[in-house]
Amino acid sequence: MRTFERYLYRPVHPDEVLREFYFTRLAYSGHMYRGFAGSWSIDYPKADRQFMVGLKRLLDQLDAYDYDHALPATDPELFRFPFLYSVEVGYMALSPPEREALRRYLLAGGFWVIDDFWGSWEWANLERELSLLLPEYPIVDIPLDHPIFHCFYDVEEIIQVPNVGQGRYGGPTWEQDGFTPHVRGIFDEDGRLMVVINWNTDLGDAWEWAEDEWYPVRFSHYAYQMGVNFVVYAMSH
Amino acid sequence: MVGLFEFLFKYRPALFEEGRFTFVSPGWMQVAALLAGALLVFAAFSYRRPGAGAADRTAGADRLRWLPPVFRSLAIGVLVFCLLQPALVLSTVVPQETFVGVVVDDSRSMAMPDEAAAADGTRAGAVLEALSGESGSMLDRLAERFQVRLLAFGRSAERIESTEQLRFGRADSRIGEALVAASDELAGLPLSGLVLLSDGADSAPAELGDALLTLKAAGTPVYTVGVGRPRLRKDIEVSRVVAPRRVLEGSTVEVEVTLSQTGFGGRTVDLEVEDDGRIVNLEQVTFPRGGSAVTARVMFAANDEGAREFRFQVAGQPDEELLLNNERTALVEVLKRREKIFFFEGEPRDESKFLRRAVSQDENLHVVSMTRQAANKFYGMNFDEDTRRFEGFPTRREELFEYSGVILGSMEASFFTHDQMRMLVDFASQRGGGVLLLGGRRAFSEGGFAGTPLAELSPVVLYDRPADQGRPELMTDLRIDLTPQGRGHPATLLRDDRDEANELWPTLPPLSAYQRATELKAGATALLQAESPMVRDPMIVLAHHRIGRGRAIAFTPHDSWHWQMSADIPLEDQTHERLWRQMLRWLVSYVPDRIEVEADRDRFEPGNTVTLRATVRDEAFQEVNRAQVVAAIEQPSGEEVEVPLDWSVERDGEFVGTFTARESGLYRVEVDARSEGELLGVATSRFAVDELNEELFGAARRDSVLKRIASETGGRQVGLGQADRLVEDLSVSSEGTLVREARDLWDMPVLFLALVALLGGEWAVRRRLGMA
Repeated sequence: MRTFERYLYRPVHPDEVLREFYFTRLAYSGHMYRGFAGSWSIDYPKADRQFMVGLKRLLDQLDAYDYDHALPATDPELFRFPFLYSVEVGYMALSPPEREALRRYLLAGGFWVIDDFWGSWEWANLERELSLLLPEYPIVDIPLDHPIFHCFYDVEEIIQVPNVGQGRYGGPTWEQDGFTPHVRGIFDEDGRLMVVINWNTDLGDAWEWAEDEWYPVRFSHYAYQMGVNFVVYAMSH
Repeated sequence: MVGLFEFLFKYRPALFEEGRFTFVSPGWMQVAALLAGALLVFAAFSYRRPGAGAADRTAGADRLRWLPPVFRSLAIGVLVFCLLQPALVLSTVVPQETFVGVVVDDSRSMAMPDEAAAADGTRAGAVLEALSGESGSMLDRLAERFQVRLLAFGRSAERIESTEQLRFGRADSRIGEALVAASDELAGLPLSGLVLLSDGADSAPAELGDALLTLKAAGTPVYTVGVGRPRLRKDIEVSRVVAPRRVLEGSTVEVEVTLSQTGFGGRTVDLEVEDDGRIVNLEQVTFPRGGSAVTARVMFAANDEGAREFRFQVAGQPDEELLLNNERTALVEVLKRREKIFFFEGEPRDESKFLRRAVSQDENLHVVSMTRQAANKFYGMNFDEDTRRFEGFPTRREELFEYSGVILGSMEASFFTHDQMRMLVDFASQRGGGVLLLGGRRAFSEGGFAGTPLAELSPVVLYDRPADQGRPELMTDLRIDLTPQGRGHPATLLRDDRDEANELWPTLPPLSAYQRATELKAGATALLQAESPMVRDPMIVLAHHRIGRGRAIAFTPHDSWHWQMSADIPLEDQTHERLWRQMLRWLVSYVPDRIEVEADRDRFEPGNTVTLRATVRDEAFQEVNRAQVVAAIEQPSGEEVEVPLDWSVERDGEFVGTFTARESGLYRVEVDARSEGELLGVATSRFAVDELNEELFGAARRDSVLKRIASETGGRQVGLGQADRLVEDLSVSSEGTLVREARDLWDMPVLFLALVALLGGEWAVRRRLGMA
């Protein structure tokens, strides 16, 4: 983790009361991305805040923190927030301490949503990282009849959600060679979903640009449905 | 005291109670005595006038002047009383025309070696010597005056011809039944009374009072002769075992074992719990130095399904007098079934997720949950084909009452209708279910429970909190510890070793709570508490109380899931899982089923009458009286007997039937309840039949029992060496063939002593006054 990235964290304000739910973004170590900070911070913090606005409206009984909330894996405080979100994991390169903490976090009961990475090269990077993180648990496609597609909204098909640029201008929805979207996961031995992987899709951009009149509403609509389902599933399973 | 009375008055108080006082002198002598008395009074008055030379005497001497004539007068009075020939008129039996039944305890406890009066030191030896018939023995003295009939008893009484037929080996001694049987046996004969020779150990299941009433009605006084010492010198006894009849497989069974002792005060002994020959717990128990009994709370895991006989025993001590009372057995049915719990949660939160996850692998718990995600949008989980589906909170009793327990999460009271709140209270009080109230920002006072029916459920005192006060304040950094009542409680025992479990609590990561719960309701018990810098008094963390048939539990923190997720808790640590498994098992333990059947005890002796009691309720747990209930009893041999159970009339929904258990072994009862041909339900139960040796418990002579028998039937308690007294008491009985007899009282030593004292007193006063 680069020291200069820390300015990106917005700590929970001391006057802010503790909430039941925090949309926590994982600030992982990785390759330099687009000459700026780590790839973990893509769309941060706007996507996170924008998602919280929608989430609180849709799940009006959820006592959720209104703002963005990013933490590195090695921070012991991470264990107080059992929901985790990551993007651009094609550039992720976890250090051994990060790997150890994240493994422990997931096996203890944490839930990790991975989003916004494309193509076979980035998949290969994630697959390698996950094989080091949870070597004994395979990555599998999550069938559409799984509760994560039905616990709040009934999601009947997996849609490819494009990034804001391609979404606004009606370009192709894919990036690199990621033509087909997938929702994959890692289950523990009791059948509990620990990791949800949204590959070849960018839910984060759809949350972030949901208010943009040029961004197609069907993508935002789908992205919010999936996001709400992830939160409901994470807080009930 | 009685001896002193007898010395002074010649006869025992008992004879004065039985007899009538009279004077046997001629009438003229009594008139003369009255005249003499009048003269004496006149003479006494004459002394009141001052005599000559009074001025020469001292004032003190003048005051004593009247005493000599008084003493003299009283002495004369005593002599006159003797001359009038006072007498005690008694009704006594005609020798050899009246019968006495001698009823001898022939049970095993009579072999106890604690009777110093016997040559061999045993109770049996003492009885045999008393009944030997040799000159001076009790039997010999009785035979001089009565026709004696010998009877021996164990479970029942029967005539014996001689003491040689006594074996002192019977497993039972039922005193009440034996006395009634003896009275019946001798009915029709002029019976002076029964003489009971026993140590007072009564193993009858029925209350003694019924038998005593029968004897009283028949006018049969019972004279009891106690054998043995009223207190053993050195003995340890497992006096009582209180165990649940049923537990869920894998649960911690909590059993209360009372150990009594004499002569072992201050000693530490090992109390072993055995399950089928395997030691499942070993508890060290130290007897108090001053007291005699101590109650130990023993806990162990019941991991094997089926009817288990747990044996509780204390190893015999080297110098202990009786070893057979060092163990007792309890029958516990370990059930493999899924108890259904309904978890109603008002908001998505990690506490409910981790709670459900903690118990998800427990095959005996089935948690069905309903979580409010948005206004009027609920997410139901774990409903299956055996569970009625509904949205939100049930509106019908049948829907709610099919569960054994309810967990109420962070849900404000205003969500519920009044009927729903009432139904939840009835779930505990009438259905007998368990309700667990979890802490949260919308629970307890913060959820507006105060002033609603839900307040009845809370074991902690609630306060009014106006809805416009906004979000309640969160109290953080709560370090939780056990209260004295929480130590060793099955819900809070997070480690197998009790000391380790007690030390664990303060080391767990601190939690937080919205509830300012600092005051318990009357009758509630706190098991966990916490200190907080934000409140002055200790915060109540875990408390419970009974509500009608059921119970309600409060757990006030809202984030116990940190004990699962915290960075300070090792991944393999099972503290969180164990806490919630135990809590939910505790929640649903002892929750009644719709149809239930129980024998009146869990263990019987061969030949005992077993009373089966079934309770029948409908889906809404209303008792059903119009039902056909049949119990199929599977005996140890495999043979099945059907016993119809009838409505008891005493209680709604209660059906009763009896059965005589003749075979030793384990019995299984299955009750089938129908109403108008439709099956209401089935229930099973078990009981065991074995030699229980009940009379070896409390093996010292039970004077209280013997005294009660004697006093309630009009007899008396006498000692083994008091044959004369026994014969005398029986002779003046109001029963049998009687004749009147007057016994002189003029020669009572008390009269002679009074005479000597009065004359001696007069002489002493006269000397003082210079008159002698």
